[in-house]
Amino acid sequence: MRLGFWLALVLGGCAMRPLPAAAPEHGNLTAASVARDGDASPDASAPALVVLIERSRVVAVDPIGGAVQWSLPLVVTGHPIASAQTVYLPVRGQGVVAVDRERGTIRFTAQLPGEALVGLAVDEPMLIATVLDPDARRPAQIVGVSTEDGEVRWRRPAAARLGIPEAGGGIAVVGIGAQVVALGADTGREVARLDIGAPAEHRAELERVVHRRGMWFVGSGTRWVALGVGGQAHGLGRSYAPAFRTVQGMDDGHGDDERLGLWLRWSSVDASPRDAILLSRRAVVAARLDAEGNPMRPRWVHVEQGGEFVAMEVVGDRVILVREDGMIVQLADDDGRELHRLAGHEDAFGALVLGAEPQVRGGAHRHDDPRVIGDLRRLVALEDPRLLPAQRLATDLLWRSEDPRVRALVQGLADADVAGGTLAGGTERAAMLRDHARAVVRTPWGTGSDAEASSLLALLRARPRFGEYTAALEFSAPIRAAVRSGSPEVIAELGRLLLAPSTGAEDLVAIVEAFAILDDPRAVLPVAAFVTRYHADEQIVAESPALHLAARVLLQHVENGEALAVLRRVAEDPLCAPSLRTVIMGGLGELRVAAARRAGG
Amino acid sequence: MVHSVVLPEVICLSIALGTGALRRDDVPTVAATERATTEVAAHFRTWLADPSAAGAQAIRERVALGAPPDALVVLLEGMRESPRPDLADIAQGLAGYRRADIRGHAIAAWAELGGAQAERAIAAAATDLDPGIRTLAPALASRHPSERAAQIVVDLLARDADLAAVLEEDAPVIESDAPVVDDDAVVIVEDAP
Repeated sequence: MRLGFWLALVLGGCAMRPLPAAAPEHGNLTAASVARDGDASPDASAPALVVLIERSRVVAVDPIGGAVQWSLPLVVTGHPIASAQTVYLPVRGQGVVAVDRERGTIRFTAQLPGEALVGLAVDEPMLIATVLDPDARRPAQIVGVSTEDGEVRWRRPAAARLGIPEAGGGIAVVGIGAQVVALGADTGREVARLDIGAPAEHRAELERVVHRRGMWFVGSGTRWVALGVGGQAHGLGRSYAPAFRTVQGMDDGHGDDERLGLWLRWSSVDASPRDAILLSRRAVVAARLDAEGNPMRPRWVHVEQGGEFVAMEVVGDRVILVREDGMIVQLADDDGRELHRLAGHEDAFGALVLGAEPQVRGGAHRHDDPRVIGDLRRLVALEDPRLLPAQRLATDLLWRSEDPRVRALVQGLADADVAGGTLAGGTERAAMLRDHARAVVRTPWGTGSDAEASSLLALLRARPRFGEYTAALEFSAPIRAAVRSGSPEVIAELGRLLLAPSTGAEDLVAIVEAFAILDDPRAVLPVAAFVTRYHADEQIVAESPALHLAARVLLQHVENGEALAVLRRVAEDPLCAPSLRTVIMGGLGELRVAAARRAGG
Repeated sequence: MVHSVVLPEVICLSIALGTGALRRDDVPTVAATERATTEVAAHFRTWLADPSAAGAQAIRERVALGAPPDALVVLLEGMRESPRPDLADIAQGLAGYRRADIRGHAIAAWAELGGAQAERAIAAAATDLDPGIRTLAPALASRHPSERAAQIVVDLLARDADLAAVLEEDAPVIESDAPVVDDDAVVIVEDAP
């Protein structure tokens, strides 16, 4: 094999020139790949296949029929990849075993140089590998291996660490330092080089290149850059799980970290909102993300009872999940309903799921699961610390609901007395979730964008002034909108509007009703000021139900010391309008009775 | 050039007529409340008579706790008669009260502080949605004349044709070419069209 390697190098005229870590930009990556790219996905026509990676063997299963297609006694040491015809499995000793995808026969075993594998990519007839070579003068190499015979056709030593490569359209693309290099897949000759247009502090992190629907991305964790389109860096607003799996210098195979991952639906346009599916051990949460990468709307939830998932992939219109016991679970991408379940036989460390490309977008008739809110609630209540990432996402999604009753659950989590057991057991998980909820309730609620929140604030800030706004300002619509979607600043602005002398009586009522629905403790201050200021003014009390309703809002927040103090002070003031006093005294009395009932069991 | 003399009593009348403060019979009363109101009003008088910081603080606290409108009127009238710069925040705050009569009294008391405070009070009166409060603007500008105050009134009358007409036709004016001798009297100088 060694002789074959050197012969291949000599006879094949392969490139041995070092790959510089930094060089001037040149070429056009997109043009270089499109010129040779039919953009036909290698998996588009191939039947679905799940390659289960077990302790000492590899098993390929047809996820539809359930038949074992083939099985091989191999100890897989890295992450396998596949083309339409072949599965490439990294094995001990820097070997890569090429297995016929349909029949399971070994086509060849390629021997890679270097000491450890970083990553593999395939664009037949070439297999591309990046390897570590720490003892060499240049610590990394990128290698082109023929998929016809497994012989090395070219290799390029590199002066800096190389990332996980990607190949397509006749080129191999890999991150090196703060740049991305495209090499001709057949010769290893450099055809393009791009600076990564990301802030300097993130450049080193962007180490994995992926090719999706004609677009090239370089990313890591929750950040990525779309290459060749201005280099604008993108990131997920919230970090629940990595969207770009990377390796710690070398690929040491499937590990526990893969039980937590975020799948993103890539598109030829960097579209927003975009679909995301979070895998968090035994929970799977599908959602839409907004332009900032923040969760916007839940689609569906699946919580597995029997075990954790070690792999997830979206194939066509299905989400294929592989459980640690080898079971294969299939869900509908559209609404998360379970389509199929295949029992496993051996424990699986991970899996390579092959099949058609995911749908570009959801189906035209796609409906989110109507039970999704209930499922999110149940997920949040599960006392399982392993589910915390999914529970955080669930909390965020509940807060983005336009229904204040749904958001009330998050407010409840934020207010929870964990030590007192409001959340079962007062566990560390509960405390962490409460802390997360406290952070979440300080962010905008509902589905509105930041721009919409700003526009709403501007509408609420306007005040009618003689000579400037002679026409009556319309506040009822923005007040209603604030209930559906808004930001904490909206509460403060509604409070100012409540205390503004120009606010009409009907709008006063609408504001107080909005506060009652929002059930936000930040409303206590302005409502308390309103009640305090006018409690002794019979005319204002009689003007509208606003003061009575405001007192009820304070009763809603009676556990808040300030609200209770104001209610008591106002009710005890002999100057208080009698009708208002009646409301307060009645409300406090009812609360006392309810508390006594609770105390009595 | 016409000299229109507006007496302080006219200001009070303007406040009262324009804001409905005289419609006492509209408001249901309770004996206990009345007694308490009288007590609060008496407290306001006492605290106003106390020029110390403690007196001002007592007023501030009572207003913050919420006081009946009649007592607030007593307070604001007292502040108008004996301006207290240390209570400017009270006048300003009550100029944002829902009821126009309270706002009128507050703006009048605020303006009595003179200078920039008067200009701000006049500006507040000139942009108020209540026509009765806007009536105050020219009167207060006469009492506290300044370039800015005059401009506010000019702008107001340009926008508020009704007020301009009322001032032209109905304002109780004493036309005289003689110099004004009464210190409490205010002169409005109007440019003839």
